[in-house]
Amino acid sequence: MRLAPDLVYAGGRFQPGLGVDVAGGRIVAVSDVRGPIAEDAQVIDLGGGYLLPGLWDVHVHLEWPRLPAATVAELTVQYAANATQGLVESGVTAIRTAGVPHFIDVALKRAYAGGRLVGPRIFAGGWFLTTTAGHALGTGFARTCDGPMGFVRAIREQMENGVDHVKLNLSGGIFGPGWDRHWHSFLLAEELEAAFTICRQRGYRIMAHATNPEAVKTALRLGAHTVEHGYIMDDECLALFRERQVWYVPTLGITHLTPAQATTPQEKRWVEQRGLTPEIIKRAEDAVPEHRAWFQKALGSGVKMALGSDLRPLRDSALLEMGLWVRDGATPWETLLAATRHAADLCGALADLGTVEVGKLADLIVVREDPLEDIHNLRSLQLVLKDGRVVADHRDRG
Amino acid sequence: MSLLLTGGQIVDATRPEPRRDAWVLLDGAVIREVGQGTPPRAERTLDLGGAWLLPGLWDVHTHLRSTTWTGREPAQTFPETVLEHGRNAMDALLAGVTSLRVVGVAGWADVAWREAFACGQHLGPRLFCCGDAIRTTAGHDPFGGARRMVAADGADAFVQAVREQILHGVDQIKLITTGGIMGAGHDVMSAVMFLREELTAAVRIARQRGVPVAVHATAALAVKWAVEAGAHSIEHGYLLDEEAAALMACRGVYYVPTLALSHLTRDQARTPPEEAYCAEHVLPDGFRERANRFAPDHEASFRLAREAGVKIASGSDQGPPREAALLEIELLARQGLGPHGAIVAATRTSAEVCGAADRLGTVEPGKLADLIAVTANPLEDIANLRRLALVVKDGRVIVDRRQG
Repeated sequence: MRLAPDLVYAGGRFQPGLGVDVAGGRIVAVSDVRGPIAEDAQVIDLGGGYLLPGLWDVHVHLEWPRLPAATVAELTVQYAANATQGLVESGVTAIRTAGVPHFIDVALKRAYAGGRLVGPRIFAGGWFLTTTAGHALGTGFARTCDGPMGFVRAIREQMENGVDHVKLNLSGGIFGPGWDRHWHSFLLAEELEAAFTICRQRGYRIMAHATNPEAVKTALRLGAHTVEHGYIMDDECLALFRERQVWYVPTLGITHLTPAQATTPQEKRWVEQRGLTPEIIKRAEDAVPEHRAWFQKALGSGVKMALGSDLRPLRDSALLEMGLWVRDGATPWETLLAATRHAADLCGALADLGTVEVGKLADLIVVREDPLEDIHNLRSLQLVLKDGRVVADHRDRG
Repeated sequence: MSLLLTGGQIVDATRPEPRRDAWVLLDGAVIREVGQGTPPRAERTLDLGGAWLLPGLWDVHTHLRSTTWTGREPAQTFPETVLEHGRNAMDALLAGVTSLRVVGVAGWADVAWREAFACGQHLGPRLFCCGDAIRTTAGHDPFGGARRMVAADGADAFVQAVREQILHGVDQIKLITTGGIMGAGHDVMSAVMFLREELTAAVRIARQRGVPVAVHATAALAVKWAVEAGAHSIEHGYLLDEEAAALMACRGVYYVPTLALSHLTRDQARTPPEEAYCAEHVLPDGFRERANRFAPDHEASFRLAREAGVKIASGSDQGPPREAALLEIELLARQGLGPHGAIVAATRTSAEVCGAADRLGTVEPGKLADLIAVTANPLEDIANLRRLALVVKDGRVIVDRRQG
């Protein structure tokens, strides 16, 4: 199959006159669009369009909406719909999960990998591990552990159930009851030590929820692979990020998407349906200035950063978060890299994914307008390919 | 929007003679008019090219599994099983099976998919759901392990178990009163496993709540008790006698013989699809021999039921439904219903079993447009149902494999 858009995202820019040849699920050539082509090849002429890698969101919870008293079966069916919708409607071809109950993310990952269902690639984290009186209780995706062995046992169960990484809570958050504040740290030193030790021993990476300087530094020193949120940090945090080469996933949407801060029509619509309580809105808005400042300071300071939204549903999440990155000062180019190449790198998948290069798996999207001119142009989605197969064709939408 | 399907023959499942050179006019999801000769105008016209149009097919005894025997210890987590059920249901629709009655899956996976299909979140067939099949301790449970069925003991426990199903949104209740072909040593077909008061209590509360009861019953005594208690349908009935058959006919109880369960072994396979199915879905020798041994009794029971005038519906009890539904229809035709009888069993009568005959099951004005078209006459050879050209659900074209 040859994809003939107008422009291909290659070598750090959109280059005209290129075509992308796909065979056996992989990119086999990125070359002159008028060059020789296999006789039986199907040519998809996009008549003007921008081809780039599929989008990633490396901080995803799959529930939407949160159903009270749902059965596990209902959750499974709903998450499957949410994930497929993200792939088909928004071109999110890969996600990393940050807390999903009952290993539904592992089940979906296997169903997608086996070709039984169509959905994004999933890097699965299973349950969100927290403590009694910890963060994320009441979300339905948290599992409480207490004591070093409580964590070790829970982590071993996660491994047995097929997770790719371990999501570990270190501190409070914006969403939560009054005692669950993001400047508080929740785990005992020996619990952290035990959790990090068993993961290190078994070769599993830790995705650390850390929201204050103390928690961030603890995660960095103990060997976390990624730090999520980082609402409050200090210069020492940034130095440690660089020194340890740890990824930072800022999840701007959590503090930035409130009724007073929503600016675009998509943001306004999303905030409206989110139905935030006045308490949560205040907590988010109180946290914004510092969160934004540390995001801006980290950006371009040599800290490795990738795009993860913590928003839902998947149809909206990555696109909203990318808009916020640009609003807070990232260039569209930095933002695109964070949502493709860097995200794939963070997931340990850069050898196969994340860029438009010969030999990589063909997870690709084509948009009609230039996303480097305006990041919102990613919404002019024309085509989504996963494993070299067209899974969504929106060209009839114009 | 109006859609005209024209230039075909219609087997409407109400009369044995097909309508030649016929058309169907749809108005949105509903069949507005059926006629012959010059068709009316419509916003959109679809030429059947001489194909045979029928109601969508049904399988009223499925567990949404990919295969019938999956071993005792499932390798799957529950969410994986849920996804597998969903995929199998979706595949069935693509094969022309537009409705399924699910007679026992764990954790109300059937209810979850029913809702997702009904609201268009996923594209799949209509589901009529029983939730968990309810049995007694030491009752029939071919799977055991982590997928054990719900067990109840004592009349009160059955009432509670039935209410638990109703709470989770089931359409019908499924009771398993005897053993089956795929069971352990204690799992025999001749013994009734329920106490009579347990059976009576379970059916009584279900009927009081307006929920029909499907009863897995193999021994004649179990069938009689079930019918007298007020069962809506009898499943399997391998060992019927004349009295049981007469009682079913007299009370208007439906019979879902599930011929596929005793007939689909490599020793009995007679057609290429049956041979292919048996080669792919291999039963352990013990179960295969048990199926072979009971097949003659099963055929005799099926004959008794037909002769007594019992209403018969099509349910395969095999997996996956996309294959099993057609295999069961072919077996029904071969074992005595003939092509038209088998089509009626798998459409009109199946819709009746699911309490949906007012809106589904035939090609008649006022019914919902769940339709299929096949390229050759299924009344001549029932295997022509496999020559699928078109699947329509709720008036929407789901599959279009017409030539040209």
